[in-house]
Amino acid sequence: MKYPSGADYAEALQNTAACFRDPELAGGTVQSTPLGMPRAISGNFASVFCIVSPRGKRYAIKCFTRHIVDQQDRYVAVSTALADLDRPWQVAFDYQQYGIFVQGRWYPLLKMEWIEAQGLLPWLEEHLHDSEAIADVTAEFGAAVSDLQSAGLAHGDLQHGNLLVDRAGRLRVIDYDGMFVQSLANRGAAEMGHLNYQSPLRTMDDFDQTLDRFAAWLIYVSLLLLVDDPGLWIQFHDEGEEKLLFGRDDFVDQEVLEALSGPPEFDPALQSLRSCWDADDLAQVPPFDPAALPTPSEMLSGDFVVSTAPAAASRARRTRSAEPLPPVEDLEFCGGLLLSRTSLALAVVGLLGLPLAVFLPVAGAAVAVAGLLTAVLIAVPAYRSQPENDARQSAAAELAARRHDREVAEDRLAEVQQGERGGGARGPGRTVVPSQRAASPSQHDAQRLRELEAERARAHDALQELQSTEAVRLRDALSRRQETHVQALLKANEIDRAILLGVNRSLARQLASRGVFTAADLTSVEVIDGGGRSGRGQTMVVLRSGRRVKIDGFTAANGKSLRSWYLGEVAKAQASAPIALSASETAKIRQGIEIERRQLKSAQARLMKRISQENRMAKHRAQNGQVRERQNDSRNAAAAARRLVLGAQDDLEEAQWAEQVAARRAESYARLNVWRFLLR
Amino acid sequence: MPYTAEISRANPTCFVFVVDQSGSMQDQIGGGEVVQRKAQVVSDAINRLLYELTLKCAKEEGVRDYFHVACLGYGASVGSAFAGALREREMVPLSEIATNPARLEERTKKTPDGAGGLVEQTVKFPVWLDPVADGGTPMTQALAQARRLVSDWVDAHPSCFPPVVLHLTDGESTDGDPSTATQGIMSLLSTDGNALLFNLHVSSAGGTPATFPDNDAALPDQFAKLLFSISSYLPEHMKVYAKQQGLATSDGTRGFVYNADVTSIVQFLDIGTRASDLR
Repeated sequence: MKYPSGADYAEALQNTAACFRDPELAGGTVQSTPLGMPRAISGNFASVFCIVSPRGKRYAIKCFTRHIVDQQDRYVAVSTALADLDRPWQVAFDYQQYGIFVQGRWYPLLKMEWIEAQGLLPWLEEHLHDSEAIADVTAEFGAAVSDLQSAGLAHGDLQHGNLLVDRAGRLRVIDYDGMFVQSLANRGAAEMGHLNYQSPLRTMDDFDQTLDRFAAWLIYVSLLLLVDDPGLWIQFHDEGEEKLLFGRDDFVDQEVLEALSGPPEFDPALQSLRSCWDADDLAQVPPFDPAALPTPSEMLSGDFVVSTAPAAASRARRTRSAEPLPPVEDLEFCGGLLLSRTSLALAVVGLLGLPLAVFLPVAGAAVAVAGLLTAVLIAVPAYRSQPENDARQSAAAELAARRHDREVAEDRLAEVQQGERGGGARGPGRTVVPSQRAASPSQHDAQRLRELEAERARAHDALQELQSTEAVRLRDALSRRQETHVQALLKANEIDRAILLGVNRSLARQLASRGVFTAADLTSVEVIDGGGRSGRGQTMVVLRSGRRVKIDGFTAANGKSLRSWYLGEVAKAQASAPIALSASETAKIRQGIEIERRQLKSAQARLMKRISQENRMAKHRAQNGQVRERQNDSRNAAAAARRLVLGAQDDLEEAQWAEQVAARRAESYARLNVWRFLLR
Repeated sequence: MPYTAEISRANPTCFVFVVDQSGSMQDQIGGGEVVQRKAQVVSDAINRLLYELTLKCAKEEGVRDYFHVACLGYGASVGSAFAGALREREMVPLSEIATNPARLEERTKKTPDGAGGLVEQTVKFPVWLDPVADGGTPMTQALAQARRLVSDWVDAHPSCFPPVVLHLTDGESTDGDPSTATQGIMSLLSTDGNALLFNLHVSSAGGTPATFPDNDAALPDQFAKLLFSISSYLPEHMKVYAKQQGLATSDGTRGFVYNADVTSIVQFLDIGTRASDLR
């Protein structure tokens, strides 16, 4: 069945009251172009129009211009599967088998909610410098594909035209015409998807839940790279190209990957592309799983670029705070027990002298004084001589020293923190302005450019040369044609038939034994007079192979008649040879040259494009290099400052701990006083 | 394989319509109820096709320049047949065509109402070409001009899908044998193949109509045979499309239509401008 064309639909839509039966569409208003004609958005097998219902609601109406096998069943299956899924990226639709009346017949239509959204390409162009928005869309794309994958579905035609970004910056996936749903598995694919997003290996027979892998990787990786470096858009996307960063040409000849390899953060992403592009079989395309790649937000922050080694090292260090401090010990004096007890006894004796003094004042006083005095005289030096006293002193000194250390560490930390804040003000961020000084391309790039330039020059020369080739080729063709003609005639002249020219049968056999059957088998005849056994001369023949052979039995006279016969035949043949090429032969040669010329021109054009692209890339790379260098410098400086702070913090922590340990020790010894020495 | 180049904004192709506007185009075509002048039928068909093309290439941001189009007319004079803002323009990008019809005509159409009756409907019809019928038939000059346009095009777009020249005529050339010019067109090529020349012959000589034939046995006169012989073979994708339209095709099928009715003229243009998928 022939479906109506876009113009047929546009004509029918000029009267919505008559062409729709859906009450929301009948009598609705069609969105128009400035000329007042229905505005369409067309694909290869449908045109979409925007209808505003009589109650003011907007719908997108898809009208089909080509027949699609099992269309209704497909939409029913897809509709059921998507209703179960119910994700925010989906767009609701309603398939109406008898939807629109055109030229006396009802045709199906697809009624969809109208979303105010932009296609991915124009959206990207507008949001190139909003890496956060791109990162969000990238993440949403990854999630949408995962939704489909985990439900066992495949979209079938993931490409920029089917990815919209709505006003809220949310990704919407549209066009479910080619979707794989389990219940459709045996129906086969309805379409092949966009050339620039599908593996060259995909055929109409490929229709299962793995259908999206290639396109999903391609889109996800492209977006991810753009989050990191929006400049890639300028490098790889020519205006008007129907692709993101990569298209069919790139899958086949992967030079573009070479151009991108360099920034180490690209490696995992490029690796994913490579594994898709290198697949010899669709089954080898890896399942879409972006877990191995940096996430869009990581790409955005660039965290994975700066080595986190110093921070990691500091975190790896033992944390002192977790360790228990040594307890305050209950220490005792070890030595001097005899002396301490003696002095204690003397002191007791001395004290006993005090009540005695009541009765015997002199004796009592003497005992008391002598006892206490000797007790003190014994106890004090004994106490002083105890090693525990030294230890206490050293503990106190240690504490003082640790306290000082801690104070120094505190000052140091404050200092490096100050330094870090100062450095931070210069900003190690992503917004480093490239210097105005033109960046010169790297040696490698310059070399490549020189090679391309040389290649272009060769193509140019070849083109120049081609212009003078026509005459040469025509002449060569004519001479070949004449030669063929002559040879054909000569070949027809068997020597046997030339017997009448004085070459008898047996001589003809002699010639035959040398491989000479016709005039075409020789190129010249040489006669040597008066030579040979008979003295009647000899005959040599030069064969077509260039070999010179003597013909047995040939006298000079035989040779001469052979020669004159041969030359006569050649002359006759040449006389009848064509003197010009036929029109068709000439045309063929001209056409051949024309094809070569086109090929050369197209090669030249490709080279020119390549050169300008390479130039841009080299410039971009060089500039990028500068930016990166500066970014790295400031990142390194920041990292170094950070490292100092972390180090100082660690040192301080260490000093604090040491101080606390020293304090505990000092406290332990502080209890070892003279009373403790005596009263134990 | 030839005729498989991608048609995209980055790699567009072109159509050149060459339209006979000689005095004899005043004659009528068809029988029975609907009798129209040939010039009217031909210009309607081309106008319709141009509108069709603009819709086919319409995207969200507007009409994309997948194609550039030239319309040459020949009769009292030879030159661009566009009317209105595009007057005297030769090769015009499709987006400009879309926004610059000479006018929108209100036409009444009788269409089936689905209940066995007919209803009259007024529809807007964009017009780029006016029906003209005046003067001789300087076909050779017009085709030479078409050749120049195609030649310039392939020079500027060496790897494009080969340009298609669609020639619509009703009679014999009055300025000599056109075959040199037509050979010239068909010998032009891009890396994707030779330029294509399709001919539509609305003769008054009578005879059996022929649509995309593969031999000239049934053609009544020398001139029809000549036009057949200077028509390109249909490339594969067009043949597939013609087959879908219910036409018989073979290896020898050529882009030639003889004494077609209105439907066949539309079909001729439809098949002849059928592109592989647009990107």
